[in-house]
Amino acid sequence: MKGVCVQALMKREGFALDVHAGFQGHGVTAILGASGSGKSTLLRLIAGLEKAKTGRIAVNGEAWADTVDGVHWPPQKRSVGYVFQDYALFDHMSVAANIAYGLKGRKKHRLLEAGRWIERMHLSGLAERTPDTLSGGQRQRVALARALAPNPDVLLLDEPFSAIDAHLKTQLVAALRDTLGDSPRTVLMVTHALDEARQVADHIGIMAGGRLVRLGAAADVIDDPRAYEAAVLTGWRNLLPVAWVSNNRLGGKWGALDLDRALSLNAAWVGIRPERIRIDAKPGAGLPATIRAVRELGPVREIECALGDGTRLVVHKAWDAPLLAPGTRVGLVLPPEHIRLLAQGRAIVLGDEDTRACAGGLA
Amino acid sequence: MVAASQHAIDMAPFALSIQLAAVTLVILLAIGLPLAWWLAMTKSPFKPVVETISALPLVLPPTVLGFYLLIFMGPQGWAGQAWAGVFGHALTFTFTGLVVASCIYSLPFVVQPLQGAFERMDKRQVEASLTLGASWPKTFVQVVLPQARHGVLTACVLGFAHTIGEFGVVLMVGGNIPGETQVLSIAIYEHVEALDYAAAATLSMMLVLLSFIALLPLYAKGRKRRRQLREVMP
Amino acid sequence: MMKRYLTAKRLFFVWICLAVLLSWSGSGHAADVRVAVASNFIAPMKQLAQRFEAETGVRVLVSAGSTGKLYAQIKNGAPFDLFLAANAREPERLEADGTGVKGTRFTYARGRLALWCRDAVSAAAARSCLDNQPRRLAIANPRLAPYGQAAESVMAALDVHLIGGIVSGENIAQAFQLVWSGNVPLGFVALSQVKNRTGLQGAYWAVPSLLHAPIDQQAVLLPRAQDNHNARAFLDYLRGAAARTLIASFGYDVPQQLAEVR
Repeated sequence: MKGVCVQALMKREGFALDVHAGFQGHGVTAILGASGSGKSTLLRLIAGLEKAKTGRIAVNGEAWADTVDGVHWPPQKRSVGYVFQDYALFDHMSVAANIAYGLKGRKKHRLLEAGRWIERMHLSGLAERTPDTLSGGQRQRVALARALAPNPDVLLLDEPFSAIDAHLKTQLVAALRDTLGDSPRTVLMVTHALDEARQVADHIGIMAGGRLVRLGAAADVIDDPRAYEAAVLTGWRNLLPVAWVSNNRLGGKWGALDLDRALSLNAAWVGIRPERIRIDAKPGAGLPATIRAVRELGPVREIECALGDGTRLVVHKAWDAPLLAPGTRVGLVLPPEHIRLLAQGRAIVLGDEDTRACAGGLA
Repeated sequence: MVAASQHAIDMAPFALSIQLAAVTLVILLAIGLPLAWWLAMTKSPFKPVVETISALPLVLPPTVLGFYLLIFMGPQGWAGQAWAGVFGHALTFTFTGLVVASCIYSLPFVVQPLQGAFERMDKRQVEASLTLGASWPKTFVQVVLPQARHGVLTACVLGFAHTIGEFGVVLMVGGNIPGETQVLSIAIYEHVEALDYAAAATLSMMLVLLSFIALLPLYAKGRKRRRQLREVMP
Repeated sequence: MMKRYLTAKRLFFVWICLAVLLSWSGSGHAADVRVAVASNFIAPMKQLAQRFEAETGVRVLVSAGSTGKLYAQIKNGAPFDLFLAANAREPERLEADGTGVKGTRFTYARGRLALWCRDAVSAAAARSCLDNQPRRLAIANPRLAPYGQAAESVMAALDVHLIGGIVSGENIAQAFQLVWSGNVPLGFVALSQVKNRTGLQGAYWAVPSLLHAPIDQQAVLLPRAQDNHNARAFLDYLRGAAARTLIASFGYDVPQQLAEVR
């Protein structure tokens, strides 16, 4: 029963958190969300730095907090490693002392272990330096080593790259992926940047308005967000608002679409990825549209089209496909098998597989 | 200016002043560290009340404070009678009574710099320490105090120097008893009243020198420290 | 950085501990008689204490203060055996309400006034400073101090006119300071303050005591010392011939009667 199960309800002035989810005990789960969506609060709840009004937090089957039973383990008791957004290194201590801080045992052994971590994280020679003399990337690695050294059951990273310069980010993200690798622990990484999530994560969770609206394998979430907020955060740009639904058809001011299945979700939007739209030169087929702009993005050509009511759709074609001039009237065909239905707001409910962990069934 | 005095200068007031300031400081640190920590961390609605009470000695005139302490710690007062029950005499006119009075009088000078330092501290480091499994005592000693060391230094220096210079309260509560409660500031006063200006001048210079030495560490550490200290002073 | 911090902290604590230890090792002199004396009488008091100890071996501890403050402290339990005030009012009060031992109150000295003039070169010249229409003159506050009241009586008796005003100090010591610091060129101070003082600027005229009401400085035994025969012995010593000669040498009058004042 590995993993972290969170059931939590919290209310503050202007902020509410309502989460019921199970996070996998292997691989990295990225939590994506806009600022204020509650993702940092979720981490703090798991770490014990915040208390939920009602709820239960269980790690690998053990209850760390349970308002029904009156259990609340303080952070000191929880086997958790936390990497803060600004790293929160102890700036009056050396790098070695920082890393050794969470270890138990005699000073000699602790410093020896810290030394091993220093090597592993490519921080050789910096053992006696103080954090204020290090670069951003070095500080991040020290923070990571400090959190990992005590071998915690759960590792929490709060926007670990927000303090990193853009041009260094790619290397560091790759380095993080290598370090976390096949960690035998639950790893949750909060971020607002999709590219970080895609590079590092095996699973993705989406938070919006204090609620977890989607949780699943990274590829699944990106391909089938199911929630409007999830689609926006995973880079979906072709999102059409649904005004009416009838049997296998739905539509709005922009037109109408046929679907290949009866609606199962309370669909407020439909979405389709740019590379899935087919452009038909005959305007009669599909949605009538006019080409507004053509942009060359290296191997991909981006064609921006306007539908009848002005709504834009973006289509991606290979760079060497036949060129279409702006102003051309075309028909956009949206194959039903690639259309994704998206719910929004309180109507979203996580699927059974997402809460399975809490029922005791995590792989 | 330092002419021959009418009598030989007695060094006892000098020692008494240092002893009083040192003992008061130790006790105020023991009381002040937890109190300042609580004030910095609490969300209790009582916080403003406690803050105001602990700041009162800043604004009360020393002789007023001294007068009420004289009654309270004397044989007719609650504290004085309690003390007399154990020791046979009241708290007034004893060194211990001076310590109690000085602790009340110098309390805000110790608590406020500490509270300010704790409030300005990086709370994330405290949280980091906890998530790494450190207990609250370990966190306080290894993370909080080093973070707040400028505030601690300010509190020590101000608490010590303020007690050294104390006069009105000590005079009322201590009674100018040589060797027991005649601290440096009182001795100077006595010499002035007795018109022995030469002795008064000599002791005054000693008091100034003592205060100077006490305050110097606070300002001597260079510009980087001074910038940090300005954030911490009350 | 951490090492440096620890070292400074250790030194600091060592120093503090030493101070704490010292303060509780040597407190509490074993004094046999504790005397509270008005500040203006410190100098003669210290000599009297020394002589008494030389003769009898009894230690006398002297605490000085303003009469008013000492009175308040005594009423609140200050550990004194004898109270020597700068006036008669406070000892009278103590005796009246039982805080002073009845029948032990007496006048140990009578204050004398001196007119101190910074511009004078002799006693006679100092006297004539009053006639030259002085601009400002310092006295002790007549409302608070008997010396001030006496000064007012003297000025009335001598029909003194001032161009400027009277500057009053809170007590006789402050009146002295006003003249000593040069702020006021002329003032009525206590004879005891100027009589034996070296390096005095100007000269003084000893004011005849018949020009004002007597400035009685009285002493009283306190209940704490009711059965302290050392304290009573010291009181008797103060009334003795040797003490009275010494007191007179400091610029006080000593009353002829040895009988206690009722």
